[in-house]
Amino acid sequence: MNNGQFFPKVADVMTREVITITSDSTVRQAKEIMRLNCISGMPVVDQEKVLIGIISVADIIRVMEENDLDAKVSKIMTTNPVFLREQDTVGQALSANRQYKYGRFPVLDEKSRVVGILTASDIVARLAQLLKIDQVEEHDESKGPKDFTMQTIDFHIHGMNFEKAGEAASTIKKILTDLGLRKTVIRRAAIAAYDAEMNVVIHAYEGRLIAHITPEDVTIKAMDIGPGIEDISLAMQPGYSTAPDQIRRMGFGAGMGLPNIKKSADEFSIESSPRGTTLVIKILVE
Amino acid sequence: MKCNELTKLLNISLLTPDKIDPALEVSGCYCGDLLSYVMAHAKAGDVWLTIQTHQNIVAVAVLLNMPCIILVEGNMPQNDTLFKAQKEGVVLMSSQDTAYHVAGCLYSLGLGR
Repeated sequence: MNNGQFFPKVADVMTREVITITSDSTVRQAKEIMRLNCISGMPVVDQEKVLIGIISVADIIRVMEENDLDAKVSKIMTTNPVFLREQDTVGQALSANRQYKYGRFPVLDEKSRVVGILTASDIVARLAQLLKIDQVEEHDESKGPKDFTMQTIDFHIHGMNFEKAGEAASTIKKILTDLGLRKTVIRRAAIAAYDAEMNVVIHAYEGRLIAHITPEDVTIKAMDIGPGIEDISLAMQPGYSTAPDQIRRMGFGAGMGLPNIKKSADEFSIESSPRGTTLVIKILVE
Repeated sequence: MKCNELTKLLNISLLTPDKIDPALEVSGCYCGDLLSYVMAHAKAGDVWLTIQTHQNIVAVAVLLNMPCIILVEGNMPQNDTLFKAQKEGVVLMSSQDTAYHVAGCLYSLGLGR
C-alpha cells in the first residue's frame, strides 16, 4: 500500500544534547552531574566519545551504601549496555524499550560514538510533533492488537484543497489498522474521519483533525475556522446540504456527512458559531 | 473473483500497471457517485462503479478497503487520480458501458451472490 515516503528513524526523535561522563571520573562527580541536570542515568564514554558503559541512579545508590563515592565510574558502570543506532527505526526502538525495560538508550553513529540518547517519552513527544507535519509510515510486521498506551495525531486541513483531501482520514485508518483494532471500529473511524475532514475541506477556510487513540476508544476532533453551520438540526438531516454546485458535481455535498458521522460514533457532539465549527466523535474500541 | 478476471470477462480495460496486483480478490459490487453515500454503504472487497474521476475516489476506496474502481461510461481518470491509485495500490479500470450494464454483468457472473 505504501511507498515509504516517511519512516521515522531514531535519529529523527532522539535527544541530541546528551550528557556523558568519562570512565575515569569519580562516582561523586557522576552523582553531581546527574543531580544538577536532573537526569537518572548517562552513557559512559572514552575520549573519542565511544560508548563503553552506562551509569544509573541505581548504581550510585549501591556505591553510596558501600560508602565508596570516590571509586571510578569504570568500576561500577554497567558494561555492554543496550544501545540503538541512528538508522534504527522508531519501531525497533519501541521494541527494545519493551524488551529491556531500561529508561534510556544511548544512540551511536557508525563509529560507535554517542550522538544522542533516547527515552520512551522522547519517542512519544517527538513522534507527535513529526506527525503534525508528515504522514507516518507504519509497519506491516505484526498482526493482532499491539500494546500501546495512547497516540495523538494532529493534521492541518486546508479548505478547498481537494488534492490533499482524505489524507488525514487515510493516515488515521492506517494507524488503526497497524494497531490491530477490530475491522468494524476501523471502518466506523474511517467513515467519521473522512466525512469530518471533507466537511472542513468543503465548507471551512482551514481546520485541524486530531485523532486521539487509546486502548479504550478513538476520539476524533475536527475543529475549523469557517462560516459555521447556520442550522445544526437541519444539517443533521440526511440529504440536506449547502455545498456549492461545482462541489456537488464531484460527488461531494450529498448531505450525508454529518448523518454518517453520527451513525458511526458512540458519542458525538457538535458546536458551531459564525467563527467555526467543532465536532467531537468518540468510537469505543470494545 | 479476482480483479484481473474482470478484464477478461467484461469489456473493461485495466488502467493501472500490472505490478499493483490485479489479482486482488473482489467479493461484491457497489454503484454510486455521491461519495458520502459510498462511504456509508460500500463494503470492503467491493468493486466500485462510478463516473467520478478525481483523485478523492482513491481515498474513498482505500478507506473502505475496496480493491478496485471501474470508471463507467468511458470516463477516464485524471492524471493525479491514476498516480494516486498506483501509489495506494488500488486497481483502476475503465468501461465504455453504463454502471447498469457492468453491474448486471458482474451479477450474472455470480459476484456478491
